[in-house]
Amino acid sequence: MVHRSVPEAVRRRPLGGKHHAAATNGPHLHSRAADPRVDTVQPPERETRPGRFSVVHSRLDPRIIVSVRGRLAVGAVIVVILGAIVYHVGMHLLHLHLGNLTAIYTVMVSLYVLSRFVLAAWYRPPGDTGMPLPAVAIIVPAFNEGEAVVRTIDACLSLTYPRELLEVVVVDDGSSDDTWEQMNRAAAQYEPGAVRCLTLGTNQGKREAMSAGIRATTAEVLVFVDSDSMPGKDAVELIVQGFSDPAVGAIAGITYARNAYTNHLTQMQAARYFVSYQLLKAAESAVGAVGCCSGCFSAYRREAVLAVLERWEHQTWLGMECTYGDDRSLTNMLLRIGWRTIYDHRAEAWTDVPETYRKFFKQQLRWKKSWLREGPLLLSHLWRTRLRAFPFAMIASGAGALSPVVLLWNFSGLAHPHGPALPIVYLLGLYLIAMGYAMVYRLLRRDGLWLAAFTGTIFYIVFSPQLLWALLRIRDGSWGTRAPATAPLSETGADNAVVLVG
Amino acid sequence: MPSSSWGRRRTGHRRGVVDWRQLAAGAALFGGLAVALGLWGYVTVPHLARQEPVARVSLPPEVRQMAGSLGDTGGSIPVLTYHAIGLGHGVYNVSGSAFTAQMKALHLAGFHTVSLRTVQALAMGRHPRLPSKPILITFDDGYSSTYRIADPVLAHYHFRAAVFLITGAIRPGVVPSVMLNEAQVRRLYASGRWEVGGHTHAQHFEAAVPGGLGAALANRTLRPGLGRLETFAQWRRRVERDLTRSQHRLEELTGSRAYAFAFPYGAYGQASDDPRIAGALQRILRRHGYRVAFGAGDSSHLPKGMTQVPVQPGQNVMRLPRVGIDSREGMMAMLRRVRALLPDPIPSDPVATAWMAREGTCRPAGPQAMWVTAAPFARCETELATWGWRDYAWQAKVPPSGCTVVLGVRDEHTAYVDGRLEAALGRSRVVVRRIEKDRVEPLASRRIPAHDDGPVTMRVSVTGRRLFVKVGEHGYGPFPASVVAGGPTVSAACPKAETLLLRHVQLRPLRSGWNTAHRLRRPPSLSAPQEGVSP
Repeated sequence: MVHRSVPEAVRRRPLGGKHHAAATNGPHLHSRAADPRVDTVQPPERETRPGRFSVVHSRLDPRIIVSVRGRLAVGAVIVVILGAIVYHVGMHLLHLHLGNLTAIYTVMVSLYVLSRFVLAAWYRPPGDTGMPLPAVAIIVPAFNEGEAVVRTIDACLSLTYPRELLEVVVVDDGSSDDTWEQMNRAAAQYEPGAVRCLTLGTNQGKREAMSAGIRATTAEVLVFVDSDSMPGKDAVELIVQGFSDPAVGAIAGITYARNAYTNHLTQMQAARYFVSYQLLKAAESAVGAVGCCSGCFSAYRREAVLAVLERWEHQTWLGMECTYGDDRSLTNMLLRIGWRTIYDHRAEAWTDVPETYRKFFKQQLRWKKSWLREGPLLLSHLWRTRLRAFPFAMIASGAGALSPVVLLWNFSGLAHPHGPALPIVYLLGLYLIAMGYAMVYRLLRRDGLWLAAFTGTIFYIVFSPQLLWALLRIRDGSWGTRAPATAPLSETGADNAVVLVG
Repeated sequence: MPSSSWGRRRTGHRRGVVDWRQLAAGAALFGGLAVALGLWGYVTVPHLARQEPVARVSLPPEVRQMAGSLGDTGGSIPVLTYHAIGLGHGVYNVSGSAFTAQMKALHLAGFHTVSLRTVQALAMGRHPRLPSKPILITFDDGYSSTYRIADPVLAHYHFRAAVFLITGAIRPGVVPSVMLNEAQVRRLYASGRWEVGGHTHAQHFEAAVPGGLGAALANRTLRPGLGRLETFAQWRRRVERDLTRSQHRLEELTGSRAYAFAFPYGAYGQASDDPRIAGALQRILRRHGYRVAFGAGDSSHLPKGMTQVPVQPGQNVMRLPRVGIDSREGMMAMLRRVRALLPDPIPSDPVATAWMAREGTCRPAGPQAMWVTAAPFARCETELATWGWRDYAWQAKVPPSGCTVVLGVRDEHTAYVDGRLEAALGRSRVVVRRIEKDRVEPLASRRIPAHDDGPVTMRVSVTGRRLFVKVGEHGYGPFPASVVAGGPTVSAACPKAETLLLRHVQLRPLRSGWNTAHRLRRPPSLSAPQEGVSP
């Protein structure tokens, strides 16, 4: 066992706190000449427009670090926005204007949103206890990835994790293209045993591919990486630190959008991912119940996974086999048997987000369906396994399910028959929350995408009625899209399906 | 690669080319944020604490005409009830502009607001000095709009008003709320425009009673969780404790205990689950210092066929009537409601006025003649505002028939009184009886000479507490007359369907101190609006 400790510089809170000198670790550049979408080293003159052309930003990239003064200013704006929401809730509570359901919804949702900010500020990444590094297996399920799988394999093997403790298991889920040949060719470039290639022969689904990978290895920690994701160099080394707490069963890393600057849609998604992770997942982590340790990049304790493996593989719901939402479901099962799940913002990975609206909506539909399925399942056991997370989860589920209804209700003109034609309070609340999220983005990153965080929040709310469609199509188990190099296979944003506005 | 040193990085950023598009978007969003925060603060405070300026309203010509046509109150005082003013409280709510318009119309019509003391004195028969066209304006519950919207409007028209506070809902200090806060109550009281009455501390709700919901104050309620009906003693304790707290709080707010009370939901015990409550509640209220109490101010609670009346002498001072003004009515409806409270004079030819048949039909048949079609019953009453009609003689010449013809006087259908006095003329007997809520109480039965050979004139005179009946040349009475006031009725009960022709149908006021109606001058007609009434 090799003793390694986490570099001091990365012990940074995601919200607030002092920023650190960035020199200790240097910027991470995940460049692969094979893939033109991945940027290489930035030419110096491009720095003149910070962030504009860069594709991959590490959290320590000095181009995106916000100055102390900037943080104070942005922090003050956030405090003002939260103050406005607190004021609104206070007005409701003080005068007990809880006579109608809309008011109760507003208060609940506002309290939930506030709790996200407060808990996220409370969040601390797992400490470094100096524990010996565990043996890690990176499991990469691949289906019709072609050449992209080579990139992922290369990324996994260029990690700073000690090679003798690292094993990469690539599982081919019966691809019809040359994925199997590509992965074998990539594996051959490394020493024997470093990369293990498995094939299922026929296409059996992502769950089967993942469980085949799990069964093929005996490493203590399983790190799931999607075939279109790339972990950062020190990501695995950081993510395993959390397992020094024996109660932790799974740890979610943060996923960035690699193609953030392709168009406005990817910008919005990139910003949305970031805010979801840094605000929602951080808040969930503070109470020890991250709802979804995403398949893009997260680590699971093998012992914990084995306990639920059978059940997970053959999960059925409403009499049908569960095909989508495998990561949320696995996390859920770990929570059910009492494991803690946490989030580590230092462990970074990059993934490709959908670039067309068609693919994006298909992906969102899948996530919403999995959210609809796993939300009630989570509630059914969370009250006894992690009581303090339960009220938040309950509001998140209830309000999340109601939010499309409330949206339509507010704009239907039925909510205020005698009032103004536009639901002014609703729209203002939406604006405030979108600005709050945008400011959280701006607080942590300075790459201009906070505008996209704003528009993204609005956009996500506007299409939230898709949840109703998801409810109708919940028994449809197809993935909608499963083509090479398309949408991320796993849910990346925490609670992306839920948009909460009073 | 950028260095990590502070200075270097800062200059690195400063040197950057400004992205104008992004800067503009950012500025727009921040500008929007400032606007949104301001607007948010404005719209999410449910009720701002400041008073709103009086809106300029202009009355349409027909409203001005209607207002100008309103006559005198005939020694009575109409009492209007408002709840919240402004948007958002359902039907009990009148919008600010509508309220302003209504006050303007009342002002135009020449109404003068009076105090609770005046109303109390009038009801107790003490003949207080009344201004011309007196009216009392009351507000229930104590919404903050009373202070924010109503008060400036009242001040503008030099009106005064009374507010009945649910003391338990009064917010502490200067907290802005949908209900009044302490500072606002004190300011209202200090203005001298406002009198403050009680409306319970925390008993203004509908509680579970056997068989449904009932006003908590006037019913023995089912105790929550236990499903057991509270005892009379428990009810009494609950009400007494509440009234004590209410008076205590009112004393804190205004420096003196309130002497006026308004029953929540107008429930003084009339449909209570315990018949003892109606009387007991009055006694309890008196013991807690209340000298005058008002009933329902809500027109929607009024059963069909009921009329509304103003406060008049002789009414039960602990159950004074009010008229609710709510949002469902337009300006004209509100004025019609006020107009219905103004008495009509006793007409010399009652047949020429509008009659309403509750059973059968009644049609005019020329001057002082009326067809009454009984099928086989008929009961008709005049549609005039008759509440001031006390002392008058009511007569008709009845043709010979197999029918019993009944002349009724002091017919009143309000939320407080529902009854009349009747004299029924049979073939050989005349029966005098009192009807109260379908309960018939015979007062006397007299044998009369046969009158089969020709029509006979029947006359019922009522004056003060005495009632006389005259059939042909024979007079009977006096009989006790306790029903307060109201108009005449005519009824017929026949063995089979039949139409009678009544002749010499006459109504004549009798001079007495009690009758208010005879002092009335005829209200100006609708077609000729009175100019000069408006100041």
